[in-house]
Amino acid sequence: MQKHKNRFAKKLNRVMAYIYMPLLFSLLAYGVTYLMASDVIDIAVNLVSLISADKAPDFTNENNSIFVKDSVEINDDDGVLTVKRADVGMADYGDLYAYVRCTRIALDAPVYYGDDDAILKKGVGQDFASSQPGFGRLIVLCAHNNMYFNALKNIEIGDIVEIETSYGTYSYEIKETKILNENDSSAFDFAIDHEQLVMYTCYPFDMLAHTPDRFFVYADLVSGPVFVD
Amino acid sequence: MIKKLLAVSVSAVMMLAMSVSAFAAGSVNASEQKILDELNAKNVPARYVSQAKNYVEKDGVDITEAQANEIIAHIDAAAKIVSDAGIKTAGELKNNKEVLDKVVAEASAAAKVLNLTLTFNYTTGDVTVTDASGKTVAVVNSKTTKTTGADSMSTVAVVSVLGLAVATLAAVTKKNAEA
Repeated sequence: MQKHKNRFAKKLNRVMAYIYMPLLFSLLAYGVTYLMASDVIDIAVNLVSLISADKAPDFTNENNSIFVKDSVEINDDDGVLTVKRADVGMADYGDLYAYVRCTRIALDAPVYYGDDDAILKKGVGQDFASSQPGFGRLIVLCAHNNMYFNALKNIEIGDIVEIETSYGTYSYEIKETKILNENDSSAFDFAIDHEQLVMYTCYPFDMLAHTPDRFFVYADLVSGPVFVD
Repeated sequence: MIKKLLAVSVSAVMMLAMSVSAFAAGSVNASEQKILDELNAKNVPARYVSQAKNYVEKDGVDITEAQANEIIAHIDAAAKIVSDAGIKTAGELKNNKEVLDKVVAEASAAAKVLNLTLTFNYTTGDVTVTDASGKTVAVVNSKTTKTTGADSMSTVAVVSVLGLAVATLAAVTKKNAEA
């Protein structure tokens, strides 16, 4: 009787293997496929949701945008571009107030004032303690290495990065790149005596998990409107 | 080292000094400059000074001399608390909850005077200041940089499932081999 039971159990195991083994391998295949195409899948799902929605999407919880292209008058005073200080709008936390671009490496992303996780999903975040362009101080931008700042892997010394604001476009020339630890306090200096743009992202660029290193790009101001009273 | 410690402990209070709404238009007045000078004189970390500058440069922010003096008094009080406790490093301050609570209370009191709310995250060390409407007016992160790696939540979930599947396969294979 016991022998008969064991034989039955073995048979059942063999039959069940034809069910769970394909299931497990399918799961593995779907998982790997998802990992490889997750970005595209997210875009597709969002697009379908937008099209199939019954009512207009509600964007009231989105970050505020104060960026209005060419909305501030820029004057040419004997070859020097100037803008009235009173016309320069100061962004609040979470505001989209500029775009950062570098044509050669196909970098083109919105800049939000603040750098929390929610902001970094939407674009480039800016350290809230750093300054807007034109103030002669430090500007610190960061973004995910697999999204908006993935392009930084192709940046070269001498490239020009532009930040377009409502009050004009500021150009910065890349001077240096560095790979530093995430806690390296020498990465940038808020007391710097000139306008410097620092951009950073996690390094290596194609790492999916947490990385302790950051790729830093340093650029100095080349041109942009000067503030006048 | 003491200077550094004092700088860290009073920085939250100093930050509040920059967070008073009034009627000026994007320039730094004498009282605000006095506070900025004080910040620099006391070797407050440049990140905090920069945060303060950002705020006073905003439209509609104008700090009076009386307010500036009151803020500076809070700074002195916070500095004295740290000094009296004999704390010499930021790490010591973080580990001394009794002193830390007093410093945070000093900062919060200053915030209340200005109709602002200060939140100190004891886990991360981050400081956030909001105004009466709930709008964030200052954020000071304790870490130098943010985590800017791939958004890993979905990756972690999928990898976990994959790991589970592989483990199951291994277990089943072993069982079949034994049978």
